[in-house]
Amino acid sequence: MSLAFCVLMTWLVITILSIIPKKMTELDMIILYAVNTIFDLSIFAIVHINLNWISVNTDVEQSLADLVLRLIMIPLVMVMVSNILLYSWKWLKWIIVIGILLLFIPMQFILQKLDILKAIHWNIYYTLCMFSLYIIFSSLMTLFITRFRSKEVKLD
Amino acid sequence: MNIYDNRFNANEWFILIGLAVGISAFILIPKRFSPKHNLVYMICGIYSGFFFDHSLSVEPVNYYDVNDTSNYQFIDFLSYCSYGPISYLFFYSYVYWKVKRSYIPLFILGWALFSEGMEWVAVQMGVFHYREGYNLYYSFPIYLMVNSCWILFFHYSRKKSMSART
Repeated sequence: MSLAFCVLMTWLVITILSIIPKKMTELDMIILYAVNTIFDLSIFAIVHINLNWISVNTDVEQSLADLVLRLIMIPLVMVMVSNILLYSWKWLKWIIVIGILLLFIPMQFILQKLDILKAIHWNIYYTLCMFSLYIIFSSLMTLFITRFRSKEVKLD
Repeated sequence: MNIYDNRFNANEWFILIGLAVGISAFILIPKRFSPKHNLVYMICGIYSGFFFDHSLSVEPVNYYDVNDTSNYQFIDFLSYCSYGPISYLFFYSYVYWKVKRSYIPLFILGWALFSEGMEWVAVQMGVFHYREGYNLYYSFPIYLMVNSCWILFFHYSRKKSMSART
């Protein structure tokens, strides 16, 4: 059940990402996805292994479900958010991004209900802080990657 | 938490020297790719390191620990960064030797054997600590798979940049 849920969520994210208008090139998005995965895994390793604020269920199904989220879903959501932040819309893009950020709260509850994660020293504000940090990092990386592209165009 | 040692010794030196040699090689060899492609070929290695180490060395399998403890340390992060120049050199040598399609399996095999050798040295230096019966030979199919994916990615990225230019 837990693995099926996480795979379904991931597939929904892939579907939405493939539908929305993209402001970045495919190569830029691949770089951003890889960098976001590295960042996500590092932060989660600190929170989970070093600080022990969250524990992950060690059963095969639950831990695989967690890996699907960490390795695929969360970095792809960040790629999606970075694309949305590049839209020319004034307020709507921020409302959508805040909406995506708030969706991580019920997600956290569901993960705990499905016994994938166990919050030891963790609350909902930490979830918001962590994902806000991911979004800020992803936006900064997007800025860096797109600057890199404009520099490259100038060199050509 | 498993603690293997708590001093600055062989494993840390191995990572720092390896990283320095890799970065020096990247700086010194003539450039063959655009800055964006340099970046993406570096990230390929770092990403692959993170991907496999954070899936194979965590529960439920937890086949090995990296460096002095099973905690995530800054030197672990540097050890993943040292995969960056290696993946760059992989792509560089692929272009430099103009590997023909029929020789790609041999090229991949050569790099997989080289990676096995590097992993063996890393184990001797105390970078990796195998658990649960994990063995050096189990990494071999992973290297073959990763290197094959890199070749596919190389052709994909080249095709994309070609189509962007036209």
